Amino acid sequence: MNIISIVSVSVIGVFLVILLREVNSGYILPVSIVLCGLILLSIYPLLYELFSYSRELMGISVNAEDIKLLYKAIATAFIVQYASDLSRECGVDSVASKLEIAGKIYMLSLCLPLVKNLLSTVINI
Amino acid sequence: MKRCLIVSVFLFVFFVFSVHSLADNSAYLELESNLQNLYTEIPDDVLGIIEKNELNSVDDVLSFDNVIVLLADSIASAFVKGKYSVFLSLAFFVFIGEVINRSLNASMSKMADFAILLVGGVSVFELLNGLSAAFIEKYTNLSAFASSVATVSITAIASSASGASATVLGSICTVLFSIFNYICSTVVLPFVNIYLCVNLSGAITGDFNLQRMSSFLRNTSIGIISFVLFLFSCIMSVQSSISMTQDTLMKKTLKQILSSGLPVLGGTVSDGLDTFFTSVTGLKNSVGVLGITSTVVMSVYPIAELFVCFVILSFTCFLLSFFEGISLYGFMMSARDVISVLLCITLSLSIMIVLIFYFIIKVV
Repeated sequence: MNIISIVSVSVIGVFLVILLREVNSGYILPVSIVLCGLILLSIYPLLYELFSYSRELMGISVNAEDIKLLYKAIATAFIVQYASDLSRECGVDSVASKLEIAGKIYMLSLCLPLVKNLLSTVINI
Repeated sequence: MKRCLIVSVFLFVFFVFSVHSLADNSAYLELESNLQNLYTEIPDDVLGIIEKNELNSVDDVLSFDNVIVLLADSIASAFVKGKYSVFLSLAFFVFIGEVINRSLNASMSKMADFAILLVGGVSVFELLNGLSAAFIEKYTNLSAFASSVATVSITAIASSASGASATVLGSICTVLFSIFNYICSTVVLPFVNIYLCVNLSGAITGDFNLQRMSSFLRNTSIGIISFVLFLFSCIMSVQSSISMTQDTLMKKTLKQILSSGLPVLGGTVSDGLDTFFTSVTGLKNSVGVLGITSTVVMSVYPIAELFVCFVILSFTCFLLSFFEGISLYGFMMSARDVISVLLCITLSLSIMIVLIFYFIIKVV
């Protein structure tokens, strides 16, 4: 999907939300979720291409597991922020903050093997 | 009276020749066995490079054209290998990560930054550890080879009645190669790891004191290496001058005694001694030239490899500097500093070995 299509879908979605605000505000949240999901999904192939090119450049010198871990960490950050922003829009700030804490702890646990690797290097000096 | 004189002269000649021939015989035997051992120590690739570039003497190797050709060859092959392009790829990867990271809110961005820093840090850690291990292996081989060549040359010097020079060079060689082996086996790898750890911790926590500590470590190590090189050059120059004066005096006295003490055979014996000294000096010079040639050839490639790595890391840092506040930037700078310290160690050690061979050739 090119940028014109993404922008068109977003503009149509925003108009739809404005119309729905006057007709039935209950539909605003599902439409927003679908719209945000669509935008994120549309950039996924481009993102994948960028990351796979950089991975190809790095060849075998960099551990593939580490790179996978980095994808996971960045994806987690995106998903958590997406969910917490939606929660804030709905006025549920407490859930948003808990979601962010959960996301941070999940990312820390993802990075644990790297920290272990570094610490074992330090211990073996 | 006449008989007594003849017997005395005979005993004197017998004594002078027998002592020298016995001493020289043992020295030659030692020299021969050392030379045989030496050829087994020369790495095949060094001999290959020497033959490939048709380098026969130290003048050939140290001529401007050949040094440029050797350096260019080594740099080109290090670039062709392309293993250090990983730093650039890493910069590209971090660049993508940062572009995405900037769109996140502050708290999530910090966590993503932490993940990027850890992945980049671990990758650079592994690469630099590999590079340091390769460096240690190459320089341990160089040390073993140079030590063998130096032993042969010192034996040759000792057999040419230059005892003072041989003693001084022998003790300096022992100290130098001990320091060399100690640096290679004990200092390099822990230094690289400690330095990177301090910097990575500084980058994660943003602690400027840790970053200052790492720059202090770098400056101190470069200062110590420069001081050792300076001290070594000074001691070597002074000691070799003194010992050469002693040896020249001893040789002249010996020749004087022989030429004036022996009425008929004095001139012949003195000339024979001169011929012997000249032949041993020729042998010593040849071995010294081989030492310098091999040291230059063996050192050029690691130096070029480190230089290529340094250039690529500098370029990576330059690319990363476009983004303010990237934690990995500081860490990459520290990796570049590690390479600069390794480069400094490599250059100093190579210069010290070349200086030793230079003084071996210079001994009269």
